[in-house]
Amino acid sequence: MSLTDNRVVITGAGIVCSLGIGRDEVWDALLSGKTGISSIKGFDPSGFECKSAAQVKDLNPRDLGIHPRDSRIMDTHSYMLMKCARDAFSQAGLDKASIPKEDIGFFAGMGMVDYKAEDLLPSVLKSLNSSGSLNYDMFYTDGYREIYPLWPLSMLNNISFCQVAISLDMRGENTVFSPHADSGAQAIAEGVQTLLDSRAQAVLSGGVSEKISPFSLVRGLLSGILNTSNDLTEPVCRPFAAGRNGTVLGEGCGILTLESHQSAVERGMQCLASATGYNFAFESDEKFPGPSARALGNAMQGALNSAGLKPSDIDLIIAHGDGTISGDKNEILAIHKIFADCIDKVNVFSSKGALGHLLAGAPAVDIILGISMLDSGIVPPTITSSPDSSILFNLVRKPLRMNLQKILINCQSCEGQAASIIIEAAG
Amino acid sequence: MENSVNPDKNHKKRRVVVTGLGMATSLGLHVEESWGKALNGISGISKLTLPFAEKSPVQAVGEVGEKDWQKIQEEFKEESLTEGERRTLFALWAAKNALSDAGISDYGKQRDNCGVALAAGLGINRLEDIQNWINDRNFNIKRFGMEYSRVHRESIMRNNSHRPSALIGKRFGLHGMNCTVTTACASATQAIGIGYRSVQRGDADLMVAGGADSMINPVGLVFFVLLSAAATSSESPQTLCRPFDRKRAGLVMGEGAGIAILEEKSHAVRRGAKIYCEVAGYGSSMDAYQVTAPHPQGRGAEQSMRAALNDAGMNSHDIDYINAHGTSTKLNDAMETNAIKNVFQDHAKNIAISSSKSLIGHLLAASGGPEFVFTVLSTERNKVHPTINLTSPDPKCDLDYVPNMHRSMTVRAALSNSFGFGGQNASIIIIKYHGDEQ
Repeated sequence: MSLTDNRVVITGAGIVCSLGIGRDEVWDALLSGKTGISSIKGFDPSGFECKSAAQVKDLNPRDLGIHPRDSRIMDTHSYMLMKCARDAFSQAGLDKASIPKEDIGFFAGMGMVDYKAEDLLPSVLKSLNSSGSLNYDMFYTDGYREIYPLWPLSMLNNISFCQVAISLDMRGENTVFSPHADSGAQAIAEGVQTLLDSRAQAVLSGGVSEKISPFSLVRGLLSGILNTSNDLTEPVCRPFAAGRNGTVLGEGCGILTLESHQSAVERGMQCLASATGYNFAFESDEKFPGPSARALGNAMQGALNSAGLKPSDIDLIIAHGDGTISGDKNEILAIHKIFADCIDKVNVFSSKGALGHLLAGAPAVDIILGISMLDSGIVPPTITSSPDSSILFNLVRKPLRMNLQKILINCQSCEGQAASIIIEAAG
Repeated sequence: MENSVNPDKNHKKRRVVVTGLGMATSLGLHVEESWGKALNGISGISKLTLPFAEKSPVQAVGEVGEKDWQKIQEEFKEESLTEGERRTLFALWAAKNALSDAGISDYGKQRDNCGVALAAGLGINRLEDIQNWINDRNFNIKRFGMEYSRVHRESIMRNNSHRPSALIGKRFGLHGMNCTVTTACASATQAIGIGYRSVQRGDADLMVAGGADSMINPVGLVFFVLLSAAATSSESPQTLCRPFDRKRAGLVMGEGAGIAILEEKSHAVRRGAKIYCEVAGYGSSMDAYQVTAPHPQGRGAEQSMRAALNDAGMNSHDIDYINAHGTSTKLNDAMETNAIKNVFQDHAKNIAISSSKSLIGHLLAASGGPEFVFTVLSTERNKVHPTINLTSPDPKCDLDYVPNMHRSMTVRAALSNSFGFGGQNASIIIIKYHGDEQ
């Protein structure tokens, strides 16, 4: 590679998920076949049809040096984003670099933010009349004053993002996309383009999941994607399995530092991987709140085109593979179609049996897992049960040692968008 | 690796033109009608009509009128039965009108090269979602879990922010990229900026871009009161929003949508589409200062305007009109004025500046949508709508805000600003369309 080529490389990666904090801890757990999915903690899930999730261990705002004044409007998603952004920032040496603050961009996919019942409860109680029903006159005169005045900021998902920008003093190009997995991919694509257009010298890009709460759990249940059987005899989330029965929510975040190859070389930074292609396509499946097989195929084909690759160049697909009946079916059909000429050589991995569905956090987390795979030449096992009999590709269920150079990462929105990203070994 | 992401990048940038406009605000459901009212300085702000809200500290809002709302519901019958948020239907209405204005009405066609970039606001935090599950003065999580299917269709749990954007894609057969931007009050201008860049670099040939929002609900009404940013006076609603005026006392909420069709120039020319204007540049920035207030000197605002000018390859003296963020808050209007002076120096006093919020209120996440529509019309037609209610000049706001009377003037290029809570900023530049000789 010449020093002047304009390819975009990854020079920092921050990851937090149910399997741990940091790339090494997560990788070791993943390789040993662990899953982060277990019974929900933090609130009583016994009334819910889905009682499992992949939750992160408590991140303490004090350990992150966050002032209580600021943490009052933050929550798990904010802490994950803060931790991952700082790790990506420092790993890429941006804390010591002489890059102007105005030339550091920031793009993230972020989920919906839910209030905590206790944030609004005092206000509601103060607005109840003697018969226990809600009286709006009481709410507008006294009730609303029970709400913490800065609470509204905690409801805007861009506020956590801005708190990170303040913490790292990043002032450049930026956007927050919401709220599903495709938004995390959009953030990475926009980061790549911002660098290709020379609108920034370095960019932090990635995404963060929602916090698992009674309200996010209900959002998942209402969308119909969650496993409600609670059969714990086999993995709860079973990507591409014959007996798959829905997905499981997870908490997690991934943030990448992106910059041009030239900038990384000049700064003496190690290139973890290159981001070489992406594409998006939208078409909702008529019977399912996700993308059609056609949209999934268009996203993959477009990503291959933009990277100048043909299907047989891809060594591994990190699938969306969320364990939903229709979502996985559409993805199987799309992979079969796009990779028809080499389908028996296609290896597919999904992280969701181990990490749950990280929504906006999923693409960057999967890319960071992909970096560890490129590093080690090992594909970790997909946590699942007996595969769907229609599958023609190789679903990696045992650690697979192979020569890995090029990885395609898929993700799906619950509203019908498909996104694909390609990363390649830095070389 | 020369052939990596988007081979088109290596060529000259593709030009992006505006070929359709659509909106729904307190000034009406049609672009021409709304523009006419805006030029005449007619305010869309009126007394709140939300039921049971007589005691709301906020009494003046820019509502989409009841008759107009019924018209929208009739147009989108199916969606009006299933969707829980007004913003979703506003978005559909504005998108349909913008597409039809652009001469696109055969929605059955697969359009893989067309996409959507939309701003969406906060969902509705319903007090009833707490109240329904209170037992012994506590929120009963277990019972909530068992009865979750009772959650109201307007609730935030049933309405994710991607819904309006996705419905536009579904309803109108737009099968390219589809994204939702949530950067508070900067959202719509950022969505239009993302749409512009997507077309420019070849990710799409046509993008439906803009924003839709409504926070006229109980928690929404007190949202900015809690943050000390809302105007709560009981004086006449139409004069309450007074950007850049010494007596300005906070933002006045509006609701609605504003959407533009952004199209690759040759794609538009081949279709024989009417071309309003050309998008020339976009820039965004972060204050990295405080989440509760903008940087007092407007550091981020200045940077985003400079970034847009750089992107457009233009000099500061090329700009004739600025559609300001102009929220009617003490902090914003002073810092925005300062930032404009820093960017445009001696030329700042020659620029006509107006705030659409004085007319339609602050559409929050959507605000950049209708403001973009007005900015496009100003550039196409050499007319600028006034900032109304500007009667007591503020020494800190000493530029030309086109007070109270519209102006006919040459608008070669115009810039529209949007700045969001938290400190995210965006600026976009429109120029007159001159065909191929540019």
